[in-house]
Amino acid sequence: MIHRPALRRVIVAVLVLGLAWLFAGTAGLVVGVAGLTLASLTTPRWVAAAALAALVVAALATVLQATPTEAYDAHFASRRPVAAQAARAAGILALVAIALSAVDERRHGATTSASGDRDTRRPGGAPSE
Amino acid sequence: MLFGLALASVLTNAPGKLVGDNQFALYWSPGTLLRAQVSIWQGDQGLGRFSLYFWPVTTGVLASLRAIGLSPWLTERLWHASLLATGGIGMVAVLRLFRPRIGLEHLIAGLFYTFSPFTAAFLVPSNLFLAYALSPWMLFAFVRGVRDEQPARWAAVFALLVFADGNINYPTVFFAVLPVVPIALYLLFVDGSVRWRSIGRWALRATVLVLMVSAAGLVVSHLSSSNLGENLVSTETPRQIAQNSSWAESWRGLGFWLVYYSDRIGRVVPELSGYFRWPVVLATFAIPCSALASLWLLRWRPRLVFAGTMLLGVAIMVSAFPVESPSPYGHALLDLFAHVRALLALRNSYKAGPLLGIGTAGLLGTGAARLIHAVRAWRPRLAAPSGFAVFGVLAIAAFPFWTGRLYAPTGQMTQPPAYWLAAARWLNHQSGDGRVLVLPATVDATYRWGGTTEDIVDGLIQGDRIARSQISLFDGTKESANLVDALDNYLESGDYQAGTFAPIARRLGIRYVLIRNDLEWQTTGRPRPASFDSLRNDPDVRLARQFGMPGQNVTASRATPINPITREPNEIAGERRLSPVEIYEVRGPTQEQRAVSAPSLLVSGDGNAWSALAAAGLLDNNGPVQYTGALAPTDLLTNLRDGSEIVISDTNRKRSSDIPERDATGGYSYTLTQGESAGQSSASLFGRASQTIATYPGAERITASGYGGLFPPAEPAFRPSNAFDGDLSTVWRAASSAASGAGQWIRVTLRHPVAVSEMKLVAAPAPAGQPRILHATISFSEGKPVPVDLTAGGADLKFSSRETRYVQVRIDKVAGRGFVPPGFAEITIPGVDLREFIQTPDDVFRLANQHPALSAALARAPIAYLFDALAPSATNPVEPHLNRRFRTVGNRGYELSGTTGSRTSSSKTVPGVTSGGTGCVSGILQVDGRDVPVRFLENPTSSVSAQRARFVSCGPLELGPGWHTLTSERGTTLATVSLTAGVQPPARPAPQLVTLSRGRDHVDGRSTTPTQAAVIIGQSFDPTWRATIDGHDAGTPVSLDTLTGWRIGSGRHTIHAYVSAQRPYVVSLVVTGVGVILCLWLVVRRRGQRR
Repeated sequence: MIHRPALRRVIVAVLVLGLAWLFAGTAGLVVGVAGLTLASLTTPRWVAAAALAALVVAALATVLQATPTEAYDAHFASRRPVAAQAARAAGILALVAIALSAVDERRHGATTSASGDRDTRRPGGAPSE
Repeated sequence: MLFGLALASVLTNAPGKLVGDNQFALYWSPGTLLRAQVSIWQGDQGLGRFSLYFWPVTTGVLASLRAIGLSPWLTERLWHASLLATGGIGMVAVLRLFRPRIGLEHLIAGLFYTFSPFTAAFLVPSNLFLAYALSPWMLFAFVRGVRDEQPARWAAVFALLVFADGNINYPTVFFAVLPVVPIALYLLFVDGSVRWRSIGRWALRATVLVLMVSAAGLVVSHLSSSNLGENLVSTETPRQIAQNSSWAESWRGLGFWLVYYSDRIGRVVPELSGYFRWPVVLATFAIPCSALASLWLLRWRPRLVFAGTMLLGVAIMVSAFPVESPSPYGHALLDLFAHVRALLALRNSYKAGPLLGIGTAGLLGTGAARLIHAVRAWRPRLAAPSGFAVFGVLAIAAFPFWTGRLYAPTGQMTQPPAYWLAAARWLNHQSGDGRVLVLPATVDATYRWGGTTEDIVDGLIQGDRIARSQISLFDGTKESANLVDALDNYLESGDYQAGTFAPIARRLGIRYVLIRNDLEWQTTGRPRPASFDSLRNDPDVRLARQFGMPGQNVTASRATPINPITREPNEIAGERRLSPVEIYEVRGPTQEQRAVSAPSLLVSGDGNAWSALAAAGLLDNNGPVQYTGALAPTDLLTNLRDGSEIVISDTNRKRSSDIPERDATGGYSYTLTQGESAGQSSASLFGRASQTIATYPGAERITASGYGGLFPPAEPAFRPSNAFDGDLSTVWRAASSAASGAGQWIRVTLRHPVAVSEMKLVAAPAPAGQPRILHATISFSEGKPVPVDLTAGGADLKFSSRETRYVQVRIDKVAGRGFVPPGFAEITIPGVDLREFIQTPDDVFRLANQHPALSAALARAPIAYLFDALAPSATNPVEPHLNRRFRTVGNRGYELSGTTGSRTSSSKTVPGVTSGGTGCVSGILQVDGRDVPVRFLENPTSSVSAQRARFVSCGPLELGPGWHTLTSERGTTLATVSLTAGVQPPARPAPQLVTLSRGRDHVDGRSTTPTQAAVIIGQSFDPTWRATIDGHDAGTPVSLDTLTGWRIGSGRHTIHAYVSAQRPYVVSLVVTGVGVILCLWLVVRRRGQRR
């Protein structure tokens, strides 16, 4: 018998991979699988950290791959493929992190409020930091 | 505070200057725009068209600000500040839904939503930015509506927000509403605080209320859908938009295609160039990085909804990047845009900015505030520096707001000079009938004294005016807009022929011509003042008034005598004597509303035929022009029996159209063949048979990867067929966007398989330092490709024979880079005739084949064939060879006449003709391959480029039924050729029409006519116009001179014409009004009144 949260995670993983492929093609699919693997080994938070790292790489690649100057032209983005791909990877990893975190949050949320009535909890799940 | 900051930032940017924003009239005379929304028809715009916009909130607010005495520039800045602050405060409100207690995070989130790279890039035009400002409030209304027990109240708030945006740009509203989707998913599946039922309950109410308040806007959008559709297909393409929308650029809030775009004038958005310096690049990346850090580190559940919203925004903004290998989503988008025209409205993915803004602001605000609090708890001394760092990054990322670089430096003005205001006043005080035609047309309106991004004419001149727009359907309906375009092109071509304007002007009710000589023509590519000298000297117009001092703002105070872009002298004789604004009056009576009696002039063609019709004298006495493409066989027959003359022209060409540059008013591709697709931007008026097409004796089509322009279609002077016309002086050049030209190709698809064993290639001449072809490859449908060495500039090739269906030449290797693309002057395939013939429409003859009575009437009717070479493009001849293919019916003798000369700038001699020649000469032109001797009526010089010389055939030209060809002889440049047969009908007594009253949506008049006649109400033809004549329904109108008209019998008649669409529009206005009142009531009613 399949445990419901586990089933939910599988469904979400399939959805995430589908979206990753849709918005980023095969490369997105690979990054999506990597993100899911990382999440299974650690937690979705570390996938978000990986997304951040990828975006930092994109930022650095934008300035290092071809030094930006005010003499830019219509090929600014296409001259920086590393930045484009790293930023895309950041997007896919963020997608994995958001989706898996949402599953986790939903599971935890259900334990704090079975009714779903907003009055039984702080609006929107008040900050817990 | 946000409003104060916003106001300070916009006031310190270009202080005292009105900057270009959507429409000049929006801040100059918003009351006019507001009042105009009462009517569905705008008779004062062009030749009359439907309203385009319903935006009472924007125009109402601005009109109120102007009414209390604020200057246009201050009104504009208040509006900009209000929009920025509205968005920022809305963001604070959204964050409060999840963190009710106001704190530092709200400040940071509000500041970022107000001042960011996106807002700097997208604030202007503000009509689009309005949706960004309203988006957080829409989200707020949704969340409150689904959480609250008052869904109707918040649905009403939502509907009022949609109403505030109007119909100015529905796609921006669509993207502004999108943040509702991730938050709904969050509330349903993660937070679990709402149920489907709550959302459904709210959505149902919101939908009903939105439909109510949008009723008028939807009616306006529906009736103007063709105008907006033309806008979609003739402006930026999805591929251009996605050229820079990478994930990296989108993450940092950029990627907007215009920011990266340059044309020959320069960068379109030069004020944002700082976003491409590395410190600013890093600052703009620091913001999404901080947002992702918040996703990683915060233990706050709503971070997920903000992160999801942000990510959805980025994914949408990326769209189809990279366009060469897009993601499956991008691929699907491009396919959808290619096949579903309406979806092109969503092509500008940058409009998804509200998602990115809301998501990033929520995460950034919460995360940064948490960081500052943590630092303060850890090391209180470091709290202030950490705060400075956060706000410093925000400030750098929004640097245009603080550094005076928010607005384009070129589109600024204090106000129009006094002479413009005086000219407008004078025109506004002229009594009587008649339109003002403004020349030259301009889009960006860059004057020597300043400018805006839109023409100033609509804001200054109150009466009926024609100032050609970038989108042709903004000047009329299909036929009339086409005529306005054609007339404008003709008058600005520099090839004006005296006596041809007045006949057209009288038919269109044009009384005045305003010539503005103070445009920055050198940089914008508009015609120079002297190019209208032929019109100024036309005896049919007189100088009525001039405004400004001679030479004031007319000539450039430039050190260089030659303009580097146009390579024209900056000043030529006489221009210094011109006043900046001249107003000419067309001599003779001019009436917008007219009655006409002569039988119609039937024209197979379109508005581009009118100049030739006028030159041939066919507009002097003939009745109104009716296009054969729009007539049923019975209508054709009735007209022919009534004595109508029929004209077959080489206009209404099958071409695609586009807007190649910022201040250009539309360009056309070369003439396409029957089988070629003109794409969505086809300039077709009627069906295929009514179009003029290109045809090649030996080929189905001649195509190329691109030709002679940054964005195809661009320069017909460098079209692919030039490489096969046997003339080394005409060339095909590759698209200049591929700077080197390597990889570009040209291809002939042969009509039948041909055995080929030899070819000759000659490369196009390359100016010094420009790309030159070194190697190319010829490929065939059969056999191995043949490599070609072109280092010597040409090659004679012999190879093993192969039967092929096509021949393609690909440029493999090029030496050098530059702005003049390489190409071929000539590619010869022995035994195959690949000359381009322009084939006139044969719609009438096809109908005649099916209707014997029509065929008989056609064989007797007076008929004229008018062939007109296309005017040169800049200094490049487009049609140095006048090759035509045309169809006739019956055996008839035709008079042939024509002109040699200035249609092209190439200097060609007329062989065998000497000064003062009076005898017949040969070698000028051929019909069906046989020489036609002609006699010159004027004295052709040895070089005929400087002046025109008229000629007539030495005898009648006998032609049987069927297809014929007419070709100019090598070395002869023909401007026009006409063939005429039959006798024009005699003129009939002129009827009279007195206009009794005229409003935006109706015309009342009284006609007196001795014979059967027609009344023309002076408004673009549209079947929604209706009329009663003597109280009886006059039925569906007909297009007469492209305007709306009805046939009437002899005698005295009272005519009442009206726009039938006005009534449903009024109903929709009432529904909208009721909807707004209902929404307001739902919002303000006290709790006790609720259920």
